[in-house]
Amino acid sequence: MARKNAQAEDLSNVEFETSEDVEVIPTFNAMNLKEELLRGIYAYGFEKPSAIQQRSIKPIVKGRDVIAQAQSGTGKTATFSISILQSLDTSLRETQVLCLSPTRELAVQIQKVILALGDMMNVQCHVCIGGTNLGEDIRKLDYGQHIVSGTPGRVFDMIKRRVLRTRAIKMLVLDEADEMLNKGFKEQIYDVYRYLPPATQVVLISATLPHEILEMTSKFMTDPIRILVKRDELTLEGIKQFFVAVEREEWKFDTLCDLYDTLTITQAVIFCNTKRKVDWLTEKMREANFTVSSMHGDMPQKERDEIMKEFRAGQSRVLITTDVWARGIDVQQVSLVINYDLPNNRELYIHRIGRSGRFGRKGVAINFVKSDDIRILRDIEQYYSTQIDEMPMNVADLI
Amino acid sequence: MNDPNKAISVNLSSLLSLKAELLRKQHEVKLAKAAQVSAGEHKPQKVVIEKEKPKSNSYKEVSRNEDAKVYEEEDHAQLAKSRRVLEAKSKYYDRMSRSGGNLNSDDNCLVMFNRKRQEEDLDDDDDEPQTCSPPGRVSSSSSSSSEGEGNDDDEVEYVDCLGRTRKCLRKVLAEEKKRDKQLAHSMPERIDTTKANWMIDTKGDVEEDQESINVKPRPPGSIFSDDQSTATHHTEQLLNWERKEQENAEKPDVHYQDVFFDEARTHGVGYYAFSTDEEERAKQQRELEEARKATTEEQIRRDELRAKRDSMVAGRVLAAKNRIRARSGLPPISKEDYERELQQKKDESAAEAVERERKEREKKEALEKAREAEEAERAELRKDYVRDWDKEKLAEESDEEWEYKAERLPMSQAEWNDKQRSERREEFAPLPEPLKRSNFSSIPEPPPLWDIPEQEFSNFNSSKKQFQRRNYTNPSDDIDDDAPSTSSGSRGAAIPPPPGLNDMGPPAAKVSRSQNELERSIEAGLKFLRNCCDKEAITNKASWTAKADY
Repeated sequence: MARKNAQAEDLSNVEFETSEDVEVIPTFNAMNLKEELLRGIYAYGFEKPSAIQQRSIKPIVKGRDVIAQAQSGTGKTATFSISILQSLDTSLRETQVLCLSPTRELAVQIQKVILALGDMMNVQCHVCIGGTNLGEDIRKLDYGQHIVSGTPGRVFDMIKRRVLRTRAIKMLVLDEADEMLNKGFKEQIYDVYRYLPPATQVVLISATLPHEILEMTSKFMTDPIRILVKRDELTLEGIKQFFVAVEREEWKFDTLCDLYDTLTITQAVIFCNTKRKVDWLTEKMREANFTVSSMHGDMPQKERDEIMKEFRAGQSRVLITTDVWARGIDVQQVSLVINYDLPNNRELYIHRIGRSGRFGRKGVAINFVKSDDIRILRDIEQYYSTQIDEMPMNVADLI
Repeated sequence: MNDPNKAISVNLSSLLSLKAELLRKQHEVKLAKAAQVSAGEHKPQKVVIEKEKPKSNSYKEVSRNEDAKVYEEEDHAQLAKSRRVLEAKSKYYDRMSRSGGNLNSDDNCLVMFNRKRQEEDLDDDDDEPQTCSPPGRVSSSSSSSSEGEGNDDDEVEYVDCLGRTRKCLRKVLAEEKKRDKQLAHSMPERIDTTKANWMIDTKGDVEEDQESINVKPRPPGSIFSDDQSTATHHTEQLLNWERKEQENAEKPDVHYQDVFFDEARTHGVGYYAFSTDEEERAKQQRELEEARKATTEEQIRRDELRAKRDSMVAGRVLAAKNRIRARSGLPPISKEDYERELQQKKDESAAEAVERERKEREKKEALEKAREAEEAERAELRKDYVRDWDKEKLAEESDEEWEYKAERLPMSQAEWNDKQRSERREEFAPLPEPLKRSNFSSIPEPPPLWDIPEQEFSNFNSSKKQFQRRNYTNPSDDIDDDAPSTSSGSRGAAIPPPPGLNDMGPPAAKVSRSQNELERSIEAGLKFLRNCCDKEAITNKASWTAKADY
């Protein structure tokens, strides 16, 4: 017992670093990928692999456990999607890869990316999320799916019902891994893990990987390869960050109205901290004759789905939402993020502002801060060694 | 007005119609000025749609306009007033002539403003029944102007099916109208027919009646219809998505195009949107594959061509060389020699590089090997490593390789009961039906239960433990509730049960030592049973109960 304690202490003092001699492969062609997959990658619009793709794809394909961290919008989803597709046997119609993510929308998006990259391979990927028809899920899984992308609750349900057979699963991917291994989700992940064959390959992916998460990875991973980013390199140059100081909460609304024209230049996401506030703000904006759409976790899944589709299709331009939207959602045209409320932790800040500036595009993040919030903002600024200036008048030019 | 979609919908056609509107307004102003001079000749602006071009006319007009200016300066106030009145009149006239009904009844006016139009309508219907715009305006313009000058270079205005006023040359008017008609016909298909698309005049005479009730001037058609059509477009898209979603639920194979849902996303140049139909998709993929093959073949062919050309050039160079040699009296070089020479030169330079490369490669290989060895070692270590979360799995199945075992489905009450019963030790089972009836006081004592050895309980405990651990493995034996339990047979009741009653299992459940009375009665019962058994086998409950009762 004492030794175990000592070990734990040891880990907390260890600084996790990127593994030694991680090979860097500069082109997709040099990665020895399947011909059809390669064509899918180029068709999707990737030309040159990003830093994370250059480093992580090969070890994952080789079957190693991998912990991969990279800045938001640098192609993490594509990284593991490509690796999954490369190590897949499409002639075997059984679930070979299980991919878990914290939100339903993200699970749907991952399915979409996998289907896009594997379009020439005729890959089958099913999305297994709550709020949808159970019978449909069961029927789909009975057809046989190569990959299942889902949220832990429904996936576990399907495993328990013996509809999702885990016999052939050789890889478990946890997207937004730090969220998945956080208190709320960890037990559910463990539940699912118990039904996987022992020593299943595990891949963890996220833009933020706090120390305590890295500490616990040895419990379910074997000698993982780590590809990490130092926190002072975690914010992207392409995303400009600003703040607007407001004296009182009520002034935030007026500020937002003033900014509306800027919001609609392309697409914008506005984050509030609670679902109720999202509803309130949406109501108020509509009263003032501004066109906005809104989304949060208390809406029925069908409605959430519709709003997502509309926003992705560019039908709506301004989306007011909660942290359900903070992680992983990729809409190319979003170039402006507004933190109507400051996020509750540092990680969420990185994820929220990362909704803009996707894959090398420009982005702007604007934080509304009351006088007592400025301290928090300064803390974030310092923690990530980044710069958050007061919003200039010509902010529209930066979008 | 804050609709963001509005901003993007500024396209060429709306710009054109804006320009047309501007020209029309300018024309109106001109007409109004002309009207000031000769007030009696004032015509309703909207009906007059010609633009005069001939030079002589315009010259005259210029001079007339100059007169008007002078006049205007002289009596400005009066003129303004008369113009206002005239404008109001013209508006009223316009309204009356457009609305076919009660505004212009014989009681109110002396003149039937709409009679002419009605007649024209009739004519029009005979002449060109395909007119799809509000017939009054178009036909009046086209018929009057064609009667008047019939000049093909004139510009003519007409109102299209969306209510926009368009302008075109007279000679292309028929063509434009035809196109407009096609558009009008395609409208109901493109827009949900159940929705409000009343402003799209597909027949040509729908809105006249409405206008007669609603005397307000119509709102500018283009803006109105834009709003409405984006709204219908939107709902239509939503419906489409929902339909697609339902289709996906039915389809065994779902592909990227099935889940695309009109996302605004840029793809690479090699992107090919396959059909959502499975067969069509397969066909497209085949075609794409063929096209790719053809491309590679073409590339190979070109490479070959290039090589051929190179060799031809080399041959010519050789010939030139030989000519030079011949001139200086040297014997010609044969082709093979020449090629060998070239090759040698190449080889010499290459040899060095190759040597260098080989060395490098060797070094790299040595490194690689060392790393591989290390890697193998680590792989071995990894193999032996047992993750915390895996320990339970391995403990469960230490003897054999891990195998997938599905969790049982949630059981129904009956299934659960059956399972529990199958796992129950027979001596704890509730008494079988016939024995229950034996619990009468008259029945002799049961066998002494305290004779059951202590070991029995430890056995029980261990077996229970085992059950807990393997909660989803079904013990293969004693599934059947009624099957004779071997275990109970061997260590069950002290007195072996009668042969015919084997299937009834051992008798009593928990009996405390103090209950001597009961025990005795059970024993009596057993004795009685044996007696019965000796006499004849008990076949059914009825016969038994009959005996027991008496």
